[in-house]
Parts: sequence; structure tokens; C-alpha cells
Amino acid sequence: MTLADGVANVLLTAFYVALLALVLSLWRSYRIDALRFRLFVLRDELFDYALEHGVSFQAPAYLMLRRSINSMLRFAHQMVFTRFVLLFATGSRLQRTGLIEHFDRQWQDALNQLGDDEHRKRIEDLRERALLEISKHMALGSIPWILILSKIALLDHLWQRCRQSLLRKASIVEIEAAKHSARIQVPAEA
Amino acid sequence: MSQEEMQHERWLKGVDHALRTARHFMTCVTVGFGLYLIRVAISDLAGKVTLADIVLSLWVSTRARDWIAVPCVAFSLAFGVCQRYLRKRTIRQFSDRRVCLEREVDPARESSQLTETVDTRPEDR
Repeated sequence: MTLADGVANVLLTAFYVALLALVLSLWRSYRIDALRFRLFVLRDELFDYALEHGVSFQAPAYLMLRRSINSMLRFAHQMVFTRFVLLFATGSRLQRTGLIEHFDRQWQDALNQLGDDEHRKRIEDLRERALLEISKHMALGSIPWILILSKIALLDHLWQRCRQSLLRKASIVEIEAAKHSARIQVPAEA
Repeated sequence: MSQEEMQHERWLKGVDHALRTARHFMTCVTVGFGLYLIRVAISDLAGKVTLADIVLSLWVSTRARDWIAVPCVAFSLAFGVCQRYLRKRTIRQFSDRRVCLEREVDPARESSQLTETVDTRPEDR
């Protein structure tokens, strides 16, 4: 390989790396748009449900959930993997402030004011789905993290297969042992 | 807001700021290091190899698969960007009408504070 070949290889590699960076930057903006779309669908579902089933648009639970989805929509671009890690790291810190309990209490009070069990279930389900969307978005937002998760999933899959195979082997041993003990009758005195 | 809550908010803001600074710092360091490497390479290669050699070598070393793959990637990217633009236009066209209809039912309707093309506002960035 000549010197010019080496330089050409380096240039080609740099070009592919730049292309990869471009794809990744577009991918990031696509993920934010996709998350917003899913949240808009949930917000529309909430609106339609309230309209069809006579839930007041001034009901605290409706307002709280709508506001919460609106904030998620507004700050979707800030919901990144580092924040996800940060939230885990500061979980106990946030717990100490009592903010979580206060918010939960407010939310439960708002749900209780709805009266109807069906409304309560539906609105709680919508909230859970919105939170799940956010968690999925944050947890799957980092390529290294996806690789780690897929490794864990693969290991889990291998372990499950291994476990099944071991259980099958163990059941064979169990059957053999049962057959064996049936063949060799132990005298009653023993 | 209690004292502890305020402290927590301040701490979170501080961490956010630190993360943003670290990200900018990493970007600057990477770009700077890349430029430094280019400078070193150019000064090292000066007088030893010509641009024509490199272009010729590039031409020879690119294989048929590169000639297919690169235009495919470029076309896919352009297609994706056009689709995105079209989607934004569609949103802009229909969102106003939907907001008006929803306001008729719920006059106190609260907005997500995004732009009319469902993008982040510059002040929220």
C-alpha cells in the first residue's frame, strides 16, 4: 500500500463517519417528532373521551393530565438518556422533598372527584400510557444503552433456553428415578 | 415551594447546565482535535504525495458497492427530509382548523406551547 492509498482510505473512512453522524442527527430529531406524535394521539384520546362520556373539561383530573401531557410535548426535546440516568440517581433526593407524595395525593384527589369508576380507570390508563411513552423514549435513546439492553435480553433468552433444557433433563432423571424405584421394591421391614 | 424543593430545583438546574457545558466542550474538543489531525497530516504529507495521487487512489479504491451504497444513502436521506417537510406542511394546514373546533367545545383549552409546525420554540431550547 502506498502513502496515497493510506490517505485515500482515511478520507473514505472520514466520509462514512460524517455520513453516520448526519444520519444519527436526523434520527434524533425523528425520535422527538415520533414521541410528540404519540403524545398528541394520547391527548386527542383524552379530549375525545371527555367529550363523548361527559367528563367536564374543568374536572381537575382532566386538567392535570392535559397539562402534564402538554408539558411532556413542550419539553420532549429535553427528555434524553442523561436525564433518565439523572432521575434514577436523584430518585431518593426527590423523595426527600416530598414532591412525589404531594403530586400523588393531588392526583388521587383529582381522580376521586371524577366519581365514576370507568372514567377514573380510563384517565389513569391514559396517564400510565403517557408515562410509559416517555420512559421508553428516554431508556431507548442511547445506542450504548440499547446494546447493553439487547445483551441483557440475549443473556436472558439464553438463560431461559438453558433453564428449559436443564428442567427437561431433570424431568428425565425424575422419570428414570421413578421407574427405577418402581422396579426395585424395598422390603416393607426396611 | 419549600426550602428542600427549591434546593432540589437548583441542583437539577446546575446538573443540566453542567451536562450542557460538557456536551459543548466535547464537541469543541472533537472538532479541534480533528482539525489538528488534518493540519498535522497535511504538513507531514507535504512534498511526499500529490493531490492527484490521492484522487487517483480514491478512484481506484472505491468499489462498485460504494458507487451503489452512497447514492442509495443520499437518496434515502433526501427522501426522508422531503417527507418530513411535507408532514410539517400538512400539520400547519390542519392544526389551526382543529384548534378552532376544539376551542368551540372547550374555550379554556390549553396548548402545548409548540410552534405551528409542532417544533420546539426557540426560547425553550
